[in-house]
Parts: sequence; C-alpha cells; structure tokens
Amino acid sequence: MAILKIYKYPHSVLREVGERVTVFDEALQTLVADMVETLYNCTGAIGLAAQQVGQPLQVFVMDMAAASTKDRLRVYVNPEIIASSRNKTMREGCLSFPEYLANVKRPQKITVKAQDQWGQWFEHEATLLEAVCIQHEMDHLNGVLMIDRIESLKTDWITRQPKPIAAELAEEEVETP
Amino acid sequence: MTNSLISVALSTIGQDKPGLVSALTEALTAVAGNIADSTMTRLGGQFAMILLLEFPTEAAWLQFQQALLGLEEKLGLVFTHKRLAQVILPAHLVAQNPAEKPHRSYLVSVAGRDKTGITFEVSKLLAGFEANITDLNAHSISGEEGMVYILVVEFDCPKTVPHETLDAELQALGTRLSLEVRLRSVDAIAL
Repeated sequence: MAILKIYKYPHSVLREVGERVTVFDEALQTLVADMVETLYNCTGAIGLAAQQVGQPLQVFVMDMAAASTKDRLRVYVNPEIIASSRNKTMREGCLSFPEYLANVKRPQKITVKAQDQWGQWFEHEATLLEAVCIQHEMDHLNGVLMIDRIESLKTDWITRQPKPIAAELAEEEVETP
Repeated sequence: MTNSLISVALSTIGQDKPGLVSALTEALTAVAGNIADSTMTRLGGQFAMILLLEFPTEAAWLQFQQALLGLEEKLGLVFTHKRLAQVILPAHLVAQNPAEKPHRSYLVSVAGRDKTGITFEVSKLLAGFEANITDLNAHSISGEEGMVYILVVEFDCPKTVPHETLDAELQALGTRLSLEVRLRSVDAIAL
C-alpha cells in the first residue's frame, strides 16, 4: 500500500468526470487500498474520491469513524443516488481546498446504490453528515467542487484561517431550512 | 432605516485580540447605536472590520466618536469613519422579484498560478459589460507548483448581456491567462 498525492484546486484532474468502473481487477484493489491508507493518513478526513488522487474514476472511500476507530470503512464504486429528502445546509471542508470552508445545501437523507471494490451491488441509506459526505464525494466523481455549490460569496464561502486543517468534511450544521 | 437616523461607515484593521467586538458594541449600545450591516474577517492575519452604523441623534454620534478615541488607545487600533448620506434606491433596483430586476446575479470563480493583474483583468472585463461587483474574495495560497491565486467574484450584470456572451468572454480570458474560470448564475428563484 502507498500514501497517494492529493491534488488540490485548481488542478485539472479535479474537473474530470470519472469513468465508470467495469473491471474489478487487482489494479482496482490496489487503488482502493492506497486510497484508504491515504484517507487514514489525513487527520480528520472521512472521505476521499479517486479524482483527488489523480484517478478520474467513479470510486470513493469513506469512513465516518476515520478519526477514531477506523471501523466504518465503505468503498463506493459507480455510485448512484436513488432517493433523497429535503435540503439542509452544512459546512463542508475539502482536502483539495485546504484553506476554505463552504456552506452547501444538500439533501440530508439519501439512499445510494453502488458497487463495492469486488463489484457487488449494495444499497445504503445515509443521513446528515454521512449523507453530505457521500454527496460531496460523488460531486468529485463528476468534476464538481464545493465552490460550484455555494450560493453567496458573503455567506457561503469562508477562508479558513490561520491554520489549514486537513479535514475532508463538515464540522457543524449552520442552518435547518 | 429612517430619514432621521445618522448613518456612518466605520472601518479598522489591526491585530486581533479577544474582546475587540465586545468593546466596540458596548460603546455603541451605550449611545443606542445600531449595526445596520457589517463585515468582519481576518485579512492577512489581521482583523479587519467594516461596519455600517446608525445613530438616533447627532449627540449620540458625537458621544460615540469620543468613545472611539478611548477604544483606539485601549485596543491599539485606528478607526476611520465616514458620515454617509441617505441613499434612496430607485424602485427597480430594490425589486425582490428576480424577474423585475434589470440584472442577473452571477458568481465567477477564477484560479490559477498567481501573477500580476488577475483581479484587474477580470474586473476590467466585467466593467466592460457594465457589470457591478457586489462581493469579491481573493486569496493567494501555496500550491503544488508555486503560489495559486483564487478569486471569487459575485456581480450583477445587465440582462441585456446574454449569459453565453459573458461566459465566452470569461473563458477567453481564462485561456489567455491560463486560469480556470467558472461562471454560474446565482439568481434566486421566485416561488
């Protein structure tokens, strides 16, 4: 396994739409293992998309407990949201924007259908922070970044000062619509 | 805001410290002043603040100016202030329904290797369309290959300018300066 380089905005790979994965081979297993190790190497991070490590593929890894027990790892390949609820605004951070936070409005409850790293389909219902994280990572898979989601510069785009924190996502709720 | 209120813009920048906002608002409250609008942020490691204040009487404003002198000494800051004339906007500019507004609101993000003149080039292009910049955030950060400049601008542009024209011009600028440029509309939807 290896710790991969994380690409930061405005690197062009972050704008690439990830290709669907059709072959679940050893190369994919290695990429997933490396992404997991890279994720766990970033203090506070809970999600990492393939684009962020320079691979435009429909793959992301997530562990809501990454900061502590590292026991809730999920690998999402070719994910699709098949149901979603009303929106809620959450404050998001991103490893590719280490100096900014953004208030982004997204559905607070989703059902996602995806394959794991071996190609097995599964469905998962996620709420609140987990739902936000999945949608944030799925945006990466489609070349969409949090700067594309803000609605107001004054209220939604926050310069993180003075210390960049390598947190992938989401520290506090800022609004309940 | 009523016609009888006194409007003042107050600004300062200096070393951040706990209790700064508290001290200022305490002095403001003491003269029954009001914060009508505000921007407070950290700018290059310093605390920067612009406040739009309202005072009920001339005496209150004078009393607050006296308090400011004490605050400058106490907080180690220098305040600048400007008395503002009442501005009454034409009705078409304060229309709440987006369909009634003569402009569209946009947000453009620009990013690339830091070089002189990015903000100038973008603002010049927008001015050429008679667009009005309403908010701007610029930041230089260290990237993988040197400093990266990130500029995000919110602006209003006359509806007579097609979105496609504006986007094409901005993309051409991005190509010329090797910048990533993303334009999108941020108009509210009337429901």
